[in-house]
Amino acid sequence: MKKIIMIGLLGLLSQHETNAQGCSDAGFCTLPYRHTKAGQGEELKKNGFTVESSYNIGEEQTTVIGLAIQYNRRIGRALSWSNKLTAANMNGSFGNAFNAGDLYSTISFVPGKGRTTNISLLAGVKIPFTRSNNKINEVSLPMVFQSSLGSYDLIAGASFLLSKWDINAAVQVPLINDNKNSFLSAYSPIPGFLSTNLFERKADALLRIGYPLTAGNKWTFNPNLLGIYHLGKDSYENVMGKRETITGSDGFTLNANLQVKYLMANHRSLQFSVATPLVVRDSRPDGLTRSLVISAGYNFGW
Amino acid sequence: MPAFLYRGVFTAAPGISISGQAKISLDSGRHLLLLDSFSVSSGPDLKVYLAKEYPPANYINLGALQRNSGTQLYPIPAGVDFTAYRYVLIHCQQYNHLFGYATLQ
Repeated sequence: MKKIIMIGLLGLLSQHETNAQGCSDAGFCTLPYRHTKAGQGEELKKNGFTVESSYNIGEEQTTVIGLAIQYNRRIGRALSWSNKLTAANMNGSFGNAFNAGDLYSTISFVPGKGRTTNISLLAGVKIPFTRSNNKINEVSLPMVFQSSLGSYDLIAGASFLLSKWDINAAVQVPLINDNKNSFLSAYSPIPGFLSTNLFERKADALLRIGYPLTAGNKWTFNPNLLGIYHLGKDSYENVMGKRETITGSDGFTLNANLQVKYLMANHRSLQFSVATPLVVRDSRPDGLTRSLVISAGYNFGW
Repeated sequence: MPAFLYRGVFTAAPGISISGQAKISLDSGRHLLLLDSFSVSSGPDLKVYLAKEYPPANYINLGALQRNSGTQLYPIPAGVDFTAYRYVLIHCQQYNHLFGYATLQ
């Protein structure tokens, strides 16, 4: 049975370089893949750079400070290449851990005549910088203390503008699992976390629906609902050396997100986001258990 | 002093230094593994396995190696058939590399 969490804010993306944080997913909803005409209150530059930080509250009151830098490069009128590096600092009952996370490298493509279309497509990969086996004083840590899921993923998606509604759909599929996490709850000095020894995670499918609003030339608000369906049950290797599926780890997550963007100048902006889940899976061993995400970023282009 | 049901001397894998004995005892109805006078080279993700063979394919994970040297104790889950699980392994799980083994007799 799904746990229904109190309803929070609707989230949303600022303009159409979506940089939303706050979803309980594996990260792909944070990627930019809209470069269509609607909502553009500013001139898009050939190069874009974003630095972003987020504050997250995870399971068992674990707090996660996320850091990300992102570089976007337009290639002609239809293509854009984005590279995003992440890192995270986790603090909680096991102590404090910091590590690099992932590289997200994606290409977005606007079919037709450049920016006059209402559709954009995206494809890319997620490359982990860790094998998801960070430890503190040689104690194995659960996934919420890991800065990466430890898998090489394929990402594919599309964005549509339908009247004033902004719709994004995507899938994230683990291609190569390099997760070497060694956390077994049976041997943990601290209770409350699920076993994820040699964890294997299934794919996600995402659908986000937003309704962007502008206020003058400076402000953009984008409330959105983000639904994520985890397409199978995750698994781990138990004490007996046998692979065990995790009941309740598949299924639906619904997040509400509000993004706000303030255009400082033609090619500089501040971005803010707050998000919370409304519906979560019964079991989230992957550690994507944020009950609240607040983020702020600074973007400039040239 | 408990009576030891099984014991074995550790043998190192190539390039590894390991010494000491593995001893199985029964204490208050629960089996325990004792690593006695134990020492092993450092490794990134060393685990203690009870295994049917080595390299390990069928094994019981007794947890992370507590320390690289010194006597240490590991509880063993109930119901283990020690005639089948005849080996105590020190195994690097992250890189799937065997460090050493002891054959229980």
